[in-house]
Amino acid sequence: MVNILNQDQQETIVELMNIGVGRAAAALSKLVQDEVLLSVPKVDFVDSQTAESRFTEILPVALAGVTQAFSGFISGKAALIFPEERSLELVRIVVGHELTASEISELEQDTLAELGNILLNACLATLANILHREIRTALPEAYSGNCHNILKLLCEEDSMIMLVQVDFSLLQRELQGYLAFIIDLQTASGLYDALNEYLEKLL
Amino acid sequence: MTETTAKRILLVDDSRVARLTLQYLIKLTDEHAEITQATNGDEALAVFQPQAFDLALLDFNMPGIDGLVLAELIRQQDANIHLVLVTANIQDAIVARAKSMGLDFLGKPVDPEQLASLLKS
Amino acid sequence: MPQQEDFKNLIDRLETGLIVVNAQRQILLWNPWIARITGIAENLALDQVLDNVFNESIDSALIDALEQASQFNLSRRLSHQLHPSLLPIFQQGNKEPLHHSILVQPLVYKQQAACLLQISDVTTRVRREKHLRAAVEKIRYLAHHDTLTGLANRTLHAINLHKTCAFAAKSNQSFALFFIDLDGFKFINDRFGHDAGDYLLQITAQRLQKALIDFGSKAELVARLGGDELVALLPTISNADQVTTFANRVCKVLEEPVEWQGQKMHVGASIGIALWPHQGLTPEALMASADNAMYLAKARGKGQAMLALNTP
Repeated sequence: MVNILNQDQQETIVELMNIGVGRAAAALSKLVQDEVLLSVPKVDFVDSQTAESRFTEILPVALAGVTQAFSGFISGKAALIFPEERSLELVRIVVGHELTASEISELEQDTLAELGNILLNACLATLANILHREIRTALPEAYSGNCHNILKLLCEEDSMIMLVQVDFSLLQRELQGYLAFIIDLQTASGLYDALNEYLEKLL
Repeated sequence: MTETTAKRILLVDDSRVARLTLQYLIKLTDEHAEITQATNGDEALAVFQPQAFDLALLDFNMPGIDGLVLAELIRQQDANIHLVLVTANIQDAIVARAKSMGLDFLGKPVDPEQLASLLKS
Repeated sequence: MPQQEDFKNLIDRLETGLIVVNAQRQILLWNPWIARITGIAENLALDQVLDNVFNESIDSALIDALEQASQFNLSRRLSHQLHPSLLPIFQQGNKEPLHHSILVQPLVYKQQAACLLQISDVTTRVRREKHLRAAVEKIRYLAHHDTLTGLANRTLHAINLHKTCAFAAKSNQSFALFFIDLDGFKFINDRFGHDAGDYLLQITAQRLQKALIDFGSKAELVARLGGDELVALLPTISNADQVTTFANRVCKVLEEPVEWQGQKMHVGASIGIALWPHQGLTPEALMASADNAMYLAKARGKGQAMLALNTP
């Protein structure tokens, strides 16, 4: 299940995510009025059995971020994940407040949800547009918790998880974020077909 | 339409899929184009010869030297080559940097019409 | 259809604005909440284009969100902090802008592709957070300042001294620490009362701050440790002579009489000076050196400044 995609298909995903994240960064860059430095996205596929140990390995203990459900040619949940203590850094850079983690306000939660919304929509819409498929996104929700809680929130058993890691930094501030796309196994064939169709044209 | 000689194009991108996509789009406009591919800056410089290419399409974010540095190194050897930065990083700051160095800019996903007009110019 | 009537009853009672528009942004649903807020009745709003109803003054982010929802089926959350005025709507009564956030979702309505806008009033939240923020700032100020003189307190001084030491170590830029004790302050309290003593401290604090600003330092680098003990940081200095000359001038400034209810009060000041790095590399070492130097200055006859003797 972990190697459900061949190398070409996986590379296509990386390139499409690269484009999606580029769009997201352009949107973010306008909000923070500065250049956003981006890493090349790193894409990994894990099954739900190994996902938790992978999450524990690569993610910090306390997490916070934004999740958003999507449906269409693929269905599942997308998440923007930050280490909890950095989660509002983005909001603070954008709105210029300096409250500490214990002073997280409702309005800031709302803002974080919107920022996640902008990033996740950009990635998902790019994926759908380039593959000539349709995708529908739901409203984003802000959340916080540990690896285990978040995984439970994101996926049911038998999910294929596409973990996309993107590091971005703003100004002199370090802000590392992760994007995760959890795809329902029942719809994984939709992704498979779309990628093949795209590749057939090229090869 | 006047017949022109086949364009000689250098294509530099670390992603195979990105190179395939660009190659596909180029062939849509100009099926006779001669395309040479390289996966990073060092490879590109190894195959590069002055006057050997009409056009170079350079990715921005690559392992090793980035597309803008590569453009500068190519320009030093060949003042006439048409240089285009092709990148998913469509932030205003990057576009501005490319323009200030005299490069054309193509954002990913590449718009076939925009590419076609660049190939014809 | 009784069921439909039930749903309509529910929607009519919602304390949230609901608007449904089609792809051309014509209004298909306009609930009583939004009718009340805008003063535009449902029958006047229906079939009109949203942009016209709001006189073309809709935030471009909302237009983008509506386009993305109808073209690409993307849902969007528009937060108040990022978009302070999405729609030109006002509070009832005082006509102040109504703080709001909007959720935009694609949906099918009356058999056509449409967008749902949910508008929520966040005015109370904005007000509450403004108070909270002001309270937090006040607490922070109180935790770091002396209420009598407005000078930095011991805690803030410790932070500033620590930062200055760290910066000095990085940039190799020497700086000076003054330890200031008033001469004859106890006498003022005994003779004129505590109110007079407090007033004298306030005036002394202002004079000290002004002298430091004139030297090129900052007002917030003067602190009151307690009683009549004051400290000051001079982050950019050239040499020991320059600093000692300046400190002696400060002694003179602080000796100027202070008027209190028609009487002149006189105090003096003794200053101990410690320079980084020669009289201490760490905050603790510098404080000890400056304190010692201040006692030496007092022993020598008060009203003067004295450079710490020790070298590391």
